Amino acid sequence: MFRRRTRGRTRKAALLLTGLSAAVLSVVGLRRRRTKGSPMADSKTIVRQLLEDPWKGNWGVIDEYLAPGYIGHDPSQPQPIRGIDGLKANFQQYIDAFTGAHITVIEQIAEDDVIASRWTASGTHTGEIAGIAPTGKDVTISGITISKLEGGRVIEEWVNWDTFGMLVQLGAIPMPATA
Amino acid sequence: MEEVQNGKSEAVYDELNDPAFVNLSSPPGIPSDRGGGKTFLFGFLNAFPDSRFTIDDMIAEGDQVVTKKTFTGTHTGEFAGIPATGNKVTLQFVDIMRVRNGRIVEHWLSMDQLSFMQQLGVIPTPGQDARDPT
Repeated sequence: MFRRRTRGRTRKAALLLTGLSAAVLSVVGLRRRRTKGSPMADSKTIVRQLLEDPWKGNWGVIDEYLAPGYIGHDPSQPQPIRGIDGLKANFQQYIDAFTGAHITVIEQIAEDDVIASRWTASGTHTGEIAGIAPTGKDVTISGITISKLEGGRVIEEWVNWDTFGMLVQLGAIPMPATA
Repeated sequence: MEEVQNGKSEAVYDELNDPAFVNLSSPPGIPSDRGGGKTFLFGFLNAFPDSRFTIDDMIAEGDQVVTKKTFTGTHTGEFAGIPATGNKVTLQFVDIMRVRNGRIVEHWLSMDQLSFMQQLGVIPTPGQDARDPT
């Protein structure tokens, strides 16, 4: 009798716990969904969001999808970009220098956990960049980013973008003579 | 690709590139067709006779292939109006190509032109003298 009651109580407690953890999980799930945009993002979506969303003010995607040991290779940077804070600082210098700066991914090509994304970036030059005082000029350049994922997070990237085109459009270097 | 870029074979270039080939990233003044692509590529290869392309990574999906390459070469011939400097150059390239029936129909190149110009000493590297041969 006593044993049965205990068992009943235990079962009730277990049920309560299950219900509680289900509620907690669904709240966590909702929160995750809200930051992710989709509950089960595939590799292409992860990379697209990492490229496009920080420029819309959503820095959460970097925390969520970048591996802490991230290394970014960008020939325009003297040193590799390292970690979550490194990537945020790299983006910040362009966000500070270009009003309305944004990136649009045009196409993506993927094989296993390696994704190539071709993109364009635009903005109006209203702050100092690479020692160039604001010109007020509109700039549009293109680039290709190759991203390597590990366990659903980007661990390494190689970026090639038209640094030369940016400086030509800003008037910092002359347009090369055409053949 | 290695036969064309490292072996410098114009015949293999013609074999690999479709007559309808379009270069979506041709520099200003260079035609975007197969002939223009050939003139540009071989003009570049001739200016760097010891040029070497290494394919670091390849990504293929559907009819598209991406290659990430490292280029090294010594600038011993005139290129794009820049007289030979004798400078050694190392560059990172990314190509996106669309292949149809075994031939390349579309080509998109992203190379680091700024660091190319800096390594040739045409544009100063921040914090360095442009004329410094090192």
